[in-house]
This record gives sequence, structure tokens and C-alpha cells, in this order.
Amino acid sequence: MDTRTVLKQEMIKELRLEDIGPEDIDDAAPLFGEGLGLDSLDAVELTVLVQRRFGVTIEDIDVAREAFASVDALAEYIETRKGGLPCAGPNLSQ
Amino acid sequence: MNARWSSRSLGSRAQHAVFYALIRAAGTSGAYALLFFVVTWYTLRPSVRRRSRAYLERRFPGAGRAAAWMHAWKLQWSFGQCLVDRAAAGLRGGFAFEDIRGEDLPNLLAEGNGVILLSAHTGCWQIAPRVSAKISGVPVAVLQHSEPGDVDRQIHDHAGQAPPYRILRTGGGPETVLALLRHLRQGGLLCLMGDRVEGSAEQAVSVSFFGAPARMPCLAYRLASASGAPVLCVFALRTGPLRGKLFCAECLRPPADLGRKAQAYRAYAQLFASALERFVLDNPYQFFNFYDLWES
Repeated sequence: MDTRTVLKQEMIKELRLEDIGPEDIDDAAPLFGEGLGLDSLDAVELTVLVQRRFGVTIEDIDVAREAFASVDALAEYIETRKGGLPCAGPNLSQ
Repeated sequence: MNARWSSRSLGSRAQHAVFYALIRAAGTSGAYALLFFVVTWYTLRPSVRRRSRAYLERRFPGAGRAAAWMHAWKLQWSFGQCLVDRAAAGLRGGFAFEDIRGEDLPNLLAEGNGVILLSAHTGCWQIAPRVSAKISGVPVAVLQHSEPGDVDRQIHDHAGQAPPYRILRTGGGPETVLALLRHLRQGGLLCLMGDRVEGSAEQAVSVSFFGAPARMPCLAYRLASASGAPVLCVFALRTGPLRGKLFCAECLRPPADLGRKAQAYRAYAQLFASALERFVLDNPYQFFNFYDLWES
């Protein structure tokens, strides 16, 4: 399964997005505000999700601004850091 | 954004400058003397009294017209004194925090997950982050709200110095939230306000405050759940001219994985609101929310 699909499935599950499936999320649409409609506080759960599921940390603010632009941008960021392979389970080495 | 409240001062930049000049020339006593007349003038204006009516009617139910006017005057007077003290602390120095009850803070910081210092608009709250920076020994960040045209100045502005803490602005979007999370993960102390909603309505929950529902933010508890940082509820009290205390009221520990729904954090917001209510019952003229924060 590709990173975008896994990412969308995890977002739906972890962010508890209701009445929405992976196919409903536009890969190019903004994650925050217009688009998927996440609010700024959702960045907390999204960061934890990416770290736990993919073992990738997002701490640099400028990087975060770009990575959180869309599913495409976030998947690219993860793939750059991890080669696109989601972790098997929670990353306990953080 | 909270449409019912503005950070802009009642006074103009020139009026503030008169107070600053008085403080430089005659210390706080000169400024307090002028403040007496300014507060009386403002309290005579119904539009000013209206700002504190929702709070005072709940804190002093059944007060007659004369008593209500007096409560409003005392509240404005107390607020004015805090502002004079803040300016004097920057312009002349000498603000003393007595009997700091921060004995829990070193132990909490030693846990390594950072600490969220959750405060409210009480007493000399604007000086609290400065004190925290001094006593904690770790980097301090403060989330602050300001609006265009705001003439309000912090102690470091008055002193012409860099702030002893990092300032992050509300309304900065996900990057700001991440900066807060990062600060905690680096073991820092994060100062937030828990009594005023300054983000979107979805980021607040309804709690009981003085017997009626009021909305309070849940940012602190969401950050705590994600980072493992404890939330130390502290309230600042002005105890006299250029003197204050910090009271540690509660230490809250929201568990991990509470998710994104604000309602999941309601219990913690209620604990904070109850602690604040107890503090305000003891110190009725040191609660400075000049708008109707209740849902009615």
C-alpha cells in the first residue's frame, strides 16, 4: 500500500474524521482550513501520528509549513525521510 | 477569534504616555493618584461598566445599583493598579514576588516532558511569565494575543530589553501549534491562558463557571495529552504596590490519545474553571475579563 493511502487511512482513524473515506480526501487539497478542514490544533495529533506510524518527526516549523500543505506534500516528506515504508507499529524509540 | 473581546486598551497612546511620564517622575504613587480620577471617570460611563457586568452580577448576585457601581469601580481600580505596576516594573524595576509557591515546578520539569503553566487573567498575570523564566531555569515560551492598534506594552518593552522568554502569537495556524509542542518536547516551560477563547470555537469546551456555562479553551490539555507534559494551574495575585504572589492551584495530567474532539478535554477544563472560581471568590477584584464570557 502506498504512503498516501496509508497516511489517509491513519488520518481518518487517528483524527477520528467522521463520514469520510480515503477516496474522499483530495491528495492535493490543503489539510488545514479549506480542503480537509482540519483546525490548527489538529497539527498536534497529525504530528504524533506521523511520528508513531512512520517514525518521522516534524519539528522544524518551516518544514512543517510545507509538509502540512496537503496529503501529497506530507507523503513526500515522509517518503524522503523513510523511503515510504510505514512502521509496523508504534515507534517507541522517540 | 473571540468577537466579544478586544485586546485594545481603553486609553490612547498619549494617555498611556502621561502615566509613563508620571511613573518616571514620581513613581507609582503619582500614577496611582491620577489613576483614581481616571478610574472614576471611566466607571461613570455605562459602556465601561457594561464590560464587567456579566462577571460582577455572578460574583455579587443581588447587589443594588450603588453596590454594583462600587464593585465596578473597585475592579477597574484594581486593574489599573496592576497596569501601573507593570509599567513601573519596566521603567523603574523593583517588582517583588513574595512567597512564590512554585515548589512543584522543579519536580515537574525534572520529568523531562516540559511543563504547561496554565494561568488566567488575574492579578499581575502579565508579570507571571517573567517570574517563571527566573525561577524555572529552563527556556520559557509564552503564547500571546495582540491586535493591530494595540498600545499595550509589556515590562520588557518599557525597559527597552529583549523579553526573557520566547513570544508566540495566537492565530498563527498549525506552525504555531507545532512550535508549542516542540518547546514542550525540549523540556521547556510553556505559559498559556486557560480562561479566554482566542482560537476557533471548535477549540473550546463548555464548562460550569459561577453556576452558568462558559466556554474555555482546551489547547493546554490537547498539548498535554500529545506531549506528556503536566498542566500546572497557577493564578497571579497582586498583594500590594509592586508586589505579587503566584498560587499553584492544581496539577492536571490528561492521558495520551484523547484525540481531537474538544469534548474529550472537558473534564480538565472544568477542573481549571473550578480552581479559578475558588481563586476569584477569594479575590473578586482581581479577575480581569472585561466581556461576557458566559454562553448566555
